[in-house]
Amino acid sequence: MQDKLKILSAAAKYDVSCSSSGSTRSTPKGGMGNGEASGICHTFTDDGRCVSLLKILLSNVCLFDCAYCSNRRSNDIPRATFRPSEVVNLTLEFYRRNLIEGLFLSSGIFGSVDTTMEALVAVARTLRVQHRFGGYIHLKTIPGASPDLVAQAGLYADRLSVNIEIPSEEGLKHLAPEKDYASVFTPMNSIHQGILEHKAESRISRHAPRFSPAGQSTQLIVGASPETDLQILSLASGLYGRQQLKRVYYSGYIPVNRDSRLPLVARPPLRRENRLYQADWLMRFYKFQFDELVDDLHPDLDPDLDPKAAWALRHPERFPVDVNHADLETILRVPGIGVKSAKLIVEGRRHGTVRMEHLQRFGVVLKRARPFLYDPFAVGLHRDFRPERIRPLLAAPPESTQLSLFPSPLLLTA
Amino acid sequence: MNTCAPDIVSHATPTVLVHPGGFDGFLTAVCEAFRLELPLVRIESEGAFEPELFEEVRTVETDPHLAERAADRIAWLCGETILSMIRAALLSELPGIQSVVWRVLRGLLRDGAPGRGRNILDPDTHAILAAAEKTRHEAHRFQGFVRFSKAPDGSLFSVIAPDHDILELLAPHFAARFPQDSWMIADAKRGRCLRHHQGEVQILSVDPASLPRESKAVESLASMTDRGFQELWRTYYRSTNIPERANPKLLARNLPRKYWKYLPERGS
Repeated sequence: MQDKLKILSAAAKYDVSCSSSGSTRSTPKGGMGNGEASGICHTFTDDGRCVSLLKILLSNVCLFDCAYCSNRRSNDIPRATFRPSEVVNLTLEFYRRNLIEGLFLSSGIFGSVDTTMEALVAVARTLRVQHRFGGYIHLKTIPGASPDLVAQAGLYADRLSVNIEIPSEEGLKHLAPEKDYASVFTPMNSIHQGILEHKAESRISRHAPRFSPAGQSTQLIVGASPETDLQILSLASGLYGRQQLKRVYYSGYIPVNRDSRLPLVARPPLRRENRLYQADWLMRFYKFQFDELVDDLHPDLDPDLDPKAAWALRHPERFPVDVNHADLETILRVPGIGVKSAKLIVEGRRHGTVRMEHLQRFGVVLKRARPFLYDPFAVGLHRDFRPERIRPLLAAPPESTQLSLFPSPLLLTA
Repeated sequence: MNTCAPDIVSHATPTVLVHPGGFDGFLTAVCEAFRLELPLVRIESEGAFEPELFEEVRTVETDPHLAERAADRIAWLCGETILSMIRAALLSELPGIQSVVWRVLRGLLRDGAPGRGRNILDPDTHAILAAAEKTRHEAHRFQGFVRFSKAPDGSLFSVIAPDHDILELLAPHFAARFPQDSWMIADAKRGRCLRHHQGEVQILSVDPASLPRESKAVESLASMTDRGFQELWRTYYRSTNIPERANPKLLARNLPRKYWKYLPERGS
């Protein structure tokens, strides 16, 4: 059991999604476990990532031969397969000790795509029906799985995901000969359809079954293929808009295989990954459009500046902002001001004038925000808004001390 | 003609009101301070206070009835949300927080009309909000960091050592999640424990000296099968890590070292 767990959790670790949020499932009668809407981290690994779910593969035996994957058919590695009862038992015992929020189950493709998908669904069904388990279940949808199985999966899981992996179809076909975009987008669209239909039903009857209540997510590998940040973010923005995904995860490419189709990299592109997460955050919580952050002139995010600061420096006409009069959306666009502090500003100004000392208390990073703020006591200063002067104040030190300015949002469960 | 001078002096004498602890104790002290119309007042709990020079110490006995009326009054004036914020702020046990809450309540109770809301531009009000957030943040963390071990009799037990007094904030979460089980969460710093048995939750006091000091000692009280699962958990923890991405700073921010001693996967 120790060895199996070791192999099948190590094989699953490159799937970066680990969030347990978005479900409000209540504890089943006579059972155990519920969903916590904000998600809960139970521990953190040495790389600082949140451990929330028991993330394992049912099997690392795989018929596919994707260049970027450590479990591909042509790799000579130890292989293992869990019995469904072993996964069920491990999930329940870990859950009871409060070690996890639930199960994240994926698998290599053994037998056929549908046999694999069926096995994943069976584990979820046993947990939900037989053991009355109310904790979080995230099921991976195997690319190409039949709509019928996907529909069943949605009834037991809190979240479903299909990984796109490579952010362009040519790239995907090149690196993963058995996959194409149709095999990814067909299940993704049918999950989206399922969620919409069940939402419509639940408006009519409160007894309507829930379908993947925490929505769906996907993962893009960054740096294994030549796409620009513009391509990646426009794809992500489309996924948030059309398929209404809850999350898109970005995984900096880590070379696990020697393969002539893949680039040679010394270290995973962690800073690029971090900038993409920041941009993603801006799209989801700050109402930015992807084409405000990257465009044909700037197809890649500036590695030395966070994307919000980069946007602000390109738009001197939008500043300075007067926090006492501007609307919430405008305040949100000031570098150094987050969602929480912006809301406090709007709440506070009903009672009086918000001054610099208040901003500091509200958690605004004044060092970053000050050049962009209207300050009645600093007459004349803000007229001299010169991006080239402000830039050095905001730029991150060179790559060696990466990730020091902001925590990667990957670690926050949302 | 200066006959009222002694009176002024006696009113201006700094006073500390000492109560037995808890929300009810605090509210009783607030009522007492209000009744005496004392201008310079600190409020502190019995165990954790040091009198200052020239300070008059008055002890207050908890009056649950009076406390309930005070709580109702506060809820009527500023709503349940603010009442629960005040409660969470007091649980932070930060030095001086009780006196800060008293200053804000004094203003509210004296000239407050209902529905005024909180004014976060006021430093005292913001301090209460900040203290409440600290407590709630830690309680949220411990929804994850509580580690149950299974005793030979099948009941679950856990020991934690949080900075703030979060047991009562944890109770609803774990009661909803494990309604069938008997479990217990002990706070080693405060010598109190949360106990769930047959759907009933209680907070009891325990002798802190009798509690294990770190996760190995907790494990030694567990059953053999339980130790097997703890070992499996450590295996999982090690193998889910990606060494190429090691980031000690981020780890320290997300999982501060002070919490490690009761986590079997990190040890002390």
